[in-house]
This record gives sequence, structure tokens and C-alpha cells, in this order.
Amino acid sequence: MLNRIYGIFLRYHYATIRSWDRLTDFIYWPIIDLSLWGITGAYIEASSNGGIQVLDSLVCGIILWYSVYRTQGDTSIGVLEELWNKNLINIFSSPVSIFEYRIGLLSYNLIKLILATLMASLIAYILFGFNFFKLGWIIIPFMFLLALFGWTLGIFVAGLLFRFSTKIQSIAWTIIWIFAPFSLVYFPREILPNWGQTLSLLVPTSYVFEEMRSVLHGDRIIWHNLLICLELNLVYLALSALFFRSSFRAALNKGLVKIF
Amino acid sequence: MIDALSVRSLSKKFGDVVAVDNISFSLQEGEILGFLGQNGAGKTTTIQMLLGVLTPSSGSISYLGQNFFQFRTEILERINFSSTYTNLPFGLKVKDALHFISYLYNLQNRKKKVGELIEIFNLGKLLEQRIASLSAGEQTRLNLAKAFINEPKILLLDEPTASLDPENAQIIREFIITQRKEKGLSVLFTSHNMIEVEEICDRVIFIQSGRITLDDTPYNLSKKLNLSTVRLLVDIESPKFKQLISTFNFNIEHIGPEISIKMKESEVPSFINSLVKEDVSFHGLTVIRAGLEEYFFKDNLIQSGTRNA
Repeated sequence: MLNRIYGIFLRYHYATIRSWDRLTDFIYWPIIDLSLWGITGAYIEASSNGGIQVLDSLVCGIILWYSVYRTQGDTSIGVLEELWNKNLINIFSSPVSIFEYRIGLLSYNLIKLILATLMASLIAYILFGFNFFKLGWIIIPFMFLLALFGWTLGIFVAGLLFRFSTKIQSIAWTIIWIFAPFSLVYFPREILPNWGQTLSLLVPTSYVFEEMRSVLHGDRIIWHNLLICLELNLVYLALSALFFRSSFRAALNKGLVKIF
Repeated sequence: MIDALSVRSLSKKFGDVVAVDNISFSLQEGEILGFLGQNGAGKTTTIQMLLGVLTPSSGSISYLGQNFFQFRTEILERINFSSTYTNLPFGLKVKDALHFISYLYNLQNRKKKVGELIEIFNLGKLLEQRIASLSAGEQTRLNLAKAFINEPKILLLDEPTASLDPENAQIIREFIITQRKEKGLSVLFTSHNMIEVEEICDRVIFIQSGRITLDDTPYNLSKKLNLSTVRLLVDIESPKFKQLISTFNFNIEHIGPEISIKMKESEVPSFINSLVKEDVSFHGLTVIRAGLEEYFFKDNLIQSGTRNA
């Protein structure tokens, strides 16, 4: 079983190292995002004569947002790539089970996430002198909770791809942005209108970003909020996994060769 | 003796369309079974079900006495396939693909086994190339190397030599025959190349509109067909020849400078005898026994109602 999971891991590892697109992803987007938001944050701080301190929370928000963005994107695009390559049959006519496939894909995404976070942290430090690791060990549960939601969405999108094939492939890149405003990456919950605030309570990532701002402001972490985040994540993950399983069965009924 | 593969009452419906209709067949250990039919007859649908990438509507599949749906992992470790309708990931190098696949099949002696396949399928010079840059023939060789990576007991080959040049196709056929001889490999083999099928298959199954219409050896099918083709160089305007053809009531087909006449096997001696007796001047006479190709065409034409048997 471990060998098969490692085989899937290797398949995505080679796909990454053989592609300039994917390698530049590690550097290009962090530089663009951090520059844009960092400079905006610096401008706001300068305009308010230091009255508003947003630079750190914006830069930190972006780095943590990658945990959701990358895991969702990499999971969905990993599946999409099998469809583009017509490689599903090679994988699922081998002894690999769908569970092993998911674990292989998710574990590779975890490694990529750690590397991408390190890269984004380095860029943030070089550009704005922001030390991401000053948050301390709390980074680990933050990243884990965010990645969990990313995987949940990634698995959900993979289910959609198995059901509707590449006809709906753009959802792999766009779905995450539906959740961005309600994740409270750049601003606190109170900024949203009432209906938005209510909606954001159902989005697990919002609790992490709220707590991130607390840590940056030197306030105490409210663990209860992180527990709500975990519970919501687990519920959504279970639903997403069920949807994926039913979609995969539907794909098997249609024939994997027809899914592209 | 346990069948390598046993298919019982297998059916697949897509909505109202019946793609595979209640088929049953078996593959013996060490047997090479040709699985033949026109495009859309149900061959690929059947092979997909045999690989577990398409769920049957009904029926059962067993490999080496084990139910496929109960022992999926164990069975898939011992079978493999190669097909023209799948690809390995384009962005990977050849060596990457062989490496990651070797882990999917939990290979022992990974390096040695992959090294052997690289040699057999002549992939040495391609290892650093991306799969996207390979020619169709090179991709086929890579797919075949993948198919043999786990030293399968049962191999499903869907038109495995379709994109290969004659020399490479022959090497592959010889390799399959050697594997059968040395390791008792069983093969389910689809091809539109009937000469190839005759060369390597012990038995053939014809599938038509999702149903098995024939199951026999190529030799028996050829005998049943009772058809031969006589080809010769002759002056077709000569009165003696014209008279002879009209007596036998044959149709003549022109193939280059030659003519080709299809007749029952039993008519061949009397036709040749008459040629000599009537002193018809001819050269280069060849008698060709009807093979699977004729059977394939005859059978398909019979089914589509365009010609009488």
C-alpha cells in the first residue's frame, strides 16, 4: 500500500519538476500577491500616519491563504491532469485504490504546500521585513485547518470533474475565490454586511484568519473558535468525500475512458 | 484446471443502448485468445470491464479462480494491459513514467526489471525524452513496456501493434509468444490485423453488436469458410480462358497485372486441371487459403445483410 501511495506521489513529483509552469508558480504568484497587497498595506499605513496597522495582517493573510489556495488547486488540477492525459485508466487498472490515490495526491500537495509557504515567507521577509514565523507554533494548526478546507474543496471539485469531466474544468481555478471574501483573509468579520457575517460563520477558514489577526495584535487565541473551525471542516470533508465517492462510482458506470 | 479468465453472462447497458449483451467466454492458462470485431462491436467496452474501469450492468468476471470484484487489488497486481486509447502522462520523461509505474505494481527488483524492459522494447535512447515528444510507435513501445512491468499472468492487449512498423510489430509478437511459452502468459488480444491474429492466436472470438457470434480456432474457421483465392497472370481476352471462366461461373478481380478469382477449395484442383487441359497460357499461379481476414469480412457482411453467405 505504501509503495502504491509513493508511486502516486512520484507521478505528481515528476509532473512538477518537469514543468517550468509549475516551478515558477512557487515564486511568481507569491511575489505578485505579496507585492500588490504589501504595497497597498504600506500605502494605507502611510496615509493614516501609522494610525492603521494593516501591513503585517495583509502579508500574513496572503501567506496563510496559500494553504487553502494551493491545496485546493493542486488537488483539483492533479485530477484534471489525469483527464487531460487520459491517464485515469493506467492508474485505476493498476492495483491502486481510489483511497491510495487520494492519499498519494494529498501527501504530495502537503509537501508542495510546505515548500510554497517557505518560499512565500522568504519573499515576505525580503520585500517587507515581515517574519512569518514570529507567529510561533500556532502556524501549524492554522495551516492544518486551512489545508483541510483546501483539500475538502479540492476533493469536491475532483468529484465534479469525475461527474461532468473537463466541461466544467474552470471551476478548479475559480471555486476558491467564492470563499475568499467570507474567509476574512484581509479584513475582520465586522466589515462584512450582516448577511455576509452570517455566511462567514459557516466558512471554516474565517475562524483561522480572525485568530491570526488576534495573534498579530498580541491578543489571546480563542481556542473555541479553532474547534468550531475543525468541526466545520470535518463535516464538510465528510460530505465532500461522500460526494466524491458517488461521483467516482458514476464515472465507473460511464467508463473512465469516457471521462476527459 | 482453473481458467486464467472466466467471463460469465457479462452485459453493459448505457441507457437503452446495449453495448455488451450477455457474453460468456474463458481464457485458458497460456492461451492467446483473439477478440475480434468491427469498431463499435463491444470489444473495448468488454476490455474496460475486464480492467475494472467500467462497471458491468450484470455478470461476473473471475481471474485465476478469484472473483474480480472481491479481490480487485490482488488480481490487478497480476494482470496488465496496453491499449491505443490511453496515454501515459505527456509531461513526464520516459524514465519517470516507468519509475512511478513500477511503484504502483509494488515491483521487486525494480531496477533490474525496468532495465530489462528498456532493452526489450528498445527504449534506451528515449529515456530522457518527454512522452509528448515520442512518435506513435515509440509511445506504443512504452505502453507495452508498462504492460509487462509486473510480469503479468494475464495480459489484455487492445490493438497493441497498431502504430508499429512491421519489424517492431514482429519483435513484439515474438516477445509475447516467448512469454507465453516460458511463463505461461495468457493473452486476450484485439487487432484488426487478421494476419497477425492468425499468426499468434490459439483461438478467436468474434463479437458483433455486443454478442459473441463465433468462438473457434483460426484453423477451424478457415476450414469452415471453405474458400480459396487463385491468383495468376493470364490473357483474359483469350477465348479459351473466357470460356473456362464462364463454365465455372467465376467473378474475376483485377489486382495489378494479375487476376484474382475466389472459389471453393474443392473447385481449385478442377479449375487448375481445366487450365492445363484447355491449354490456357498462364504464369505465376498462386493459391491462397482463406484466412481470418476473409472470415472477418464475410461475417461482417453477412451480418449487415449486404451479401449472401
